[in-house]
Amino acid sequence: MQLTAPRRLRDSLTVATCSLLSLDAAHADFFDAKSLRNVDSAVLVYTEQDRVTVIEPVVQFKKELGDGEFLTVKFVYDAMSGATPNGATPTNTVQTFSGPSGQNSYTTAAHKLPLVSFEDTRVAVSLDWELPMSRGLRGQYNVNFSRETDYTSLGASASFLWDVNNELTTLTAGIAANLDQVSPTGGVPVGLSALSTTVAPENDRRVEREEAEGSEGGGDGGSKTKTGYDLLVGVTQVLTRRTLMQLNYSYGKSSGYLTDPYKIVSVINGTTGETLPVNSGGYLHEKRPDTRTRNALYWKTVYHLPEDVVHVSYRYYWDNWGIQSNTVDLTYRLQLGAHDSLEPHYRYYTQTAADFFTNSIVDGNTPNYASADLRLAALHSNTVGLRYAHALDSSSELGLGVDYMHQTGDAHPASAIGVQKNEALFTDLKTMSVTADFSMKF
Amino acid sequence: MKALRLLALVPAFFLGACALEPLQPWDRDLLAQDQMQLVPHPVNEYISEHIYFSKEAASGGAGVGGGGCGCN
Repeated sequence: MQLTAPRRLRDSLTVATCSLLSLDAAHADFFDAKSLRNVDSAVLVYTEQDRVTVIEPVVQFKKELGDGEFLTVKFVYDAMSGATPNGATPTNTVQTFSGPSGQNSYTTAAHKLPLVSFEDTRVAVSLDWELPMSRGLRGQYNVNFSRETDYTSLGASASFLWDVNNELTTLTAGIAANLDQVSPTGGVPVGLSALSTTVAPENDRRVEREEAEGSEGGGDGGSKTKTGYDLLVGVTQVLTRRTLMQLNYSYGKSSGYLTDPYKIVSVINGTTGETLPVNSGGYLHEKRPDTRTRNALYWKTVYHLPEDVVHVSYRYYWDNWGIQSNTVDLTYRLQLGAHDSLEPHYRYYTQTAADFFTNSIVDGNTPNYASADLRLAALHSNTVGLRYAHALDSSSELGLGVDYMHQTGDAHPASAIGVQKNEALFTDLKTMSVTADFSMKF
Repeated sequence: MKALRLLALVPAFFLGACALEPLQPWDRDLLAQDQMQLVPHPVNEYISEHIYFSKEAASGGAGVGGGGCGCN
C-alpha cells in the first residue's frame, strides 16, 4: 500500500509536470510566432474580357516592436494596360476621336463601344503603426502614398480601438484624410467643353488647355487637386465563443476635382439619336460636381462551425450624388484535414445611377453636370470565387484563388432616342482575377 | 413598423451580449484563430477591395484609410 501511494503520487506529478511543460511549450510557441515577423504577399493577374489587364504584386511585412506594438509596411506595384471605355455611346457610324495626348486619333467601328487604349504603372507604399496606449486602448496610425504617371495620392489615418466589457466589446473610432493630385496627359480639359478636333503637338495642346482652364479661373498649370476625409465609428462584439460581429458607420467627404479627365459624353440629335459629327461638338468632356459626401453602414459576422468558418457581410451605401448601393459578401472556409482548406466566395453588388449620369446629351440641352462613365450607371454584379490554401507548416501558408465577376446594367434604357434604341448602351463587364498568395510567420 | 422593430433588435443584440458570461481565456481558442479574424487575409482583401473600388461607385465601410488611385 505504501509503495502504491507514492507511485500514484509520482504518476500524478509526472502527468502534471508534463502538462505544465507542454502548456509552457505551446505558450512559448504562441509568443514566439507573435513576437517575430509576418510576411504576407500576393500576386494578382487581373483580366477583363477585351479590355484591361493588370498585374499587381503586393508584399506586406509586419514586425512586433514591443509588447503589442506593431509596425507594418506594404509595397504595391501595378502594371496596367489595355483599353477602357471613353464614355461615348455606340452608334450606327464609325466614330473618330482625338487621343488624350492630342497626338493620336483612334476610331471605333459602328455599333461598338468606344474604347481608348492606355498603359500605366502605379507604385504604392503604406506604413501602419499599432500602439497600445493605456489599458484596453490601442491606436492604429497609417500613412500611405501612391504614384501613377498622372495621379499622386497622399493619405493618413488614425484609428482608436477600445476593449471594454471584459474584452468582449471593442469600440472603434477612426479618421482619415487624403490629398490627391490629378495631372492628366494633355492637361486638364474644361468640363463640358467640346472634344478637340485638331491633332496638335502635345506641348501646344497643353498650353491651349491651360489657357482654357485659366479663363475659367480654376487652372493650375495642367493639374488639379482633390482632398477628402473619412470618419468611422464602430463596435465589434464577441457574442459567443464561436461568434464575432461588427457594425460600422462611416462618413466621408471629397472636394475638388472629382471629374475623370479622360471621359467624354456623346452629343446626339434629339430626334434621330445620331451622334453629331465631332467638328459639330459631337463629344463633350464630362463634368462632375466638386463635392461628394458618402455614408456607409457595414455589418459583418464571423461564425465558427465545428470545423469550418463562415464570413458574411452586408453594406448599405448612399451618397449625395444619388447613388445607393447594397453589397452582400459570403465566404465559407471549408477545412479539409489539418493542412488544407477551400474557400468558396460569393458577392452580390448593386447600385443606383448618379443623378448626373447620362448615356448621352441631347444637342442644345447641356446640363450643369454630366458623365457617361458606366461605373456611375445603375448596375449590379455577381462575383463567384474559390481559394485553395495549403499550410506548409504551422507558420506558413500558400494560397491560390480565382474570382470571376460579371457586371450588368440596362443596355436599352427608356431614355434611348432614335438609333440609340438599336445599340447596347451598357456593355457587360466580365473580369477574371487569379491571385497567388504566400504568408509566413518567422 | 416591422423594419423599425428589426432595427431595434440591433442594439438589443449588442446590449444583450453585455449580459453574457465573460469568456475565459480558455474559451477564446476559436476566436484566436487566423480564420476567425475580421480580415483573415489582409493582402488578399486589399487586392479585392482595389478591384471593386476601380469598377464600382460605392466604397468604404469596413475601415478608414488605405490609399487612393486614379482609377475612379
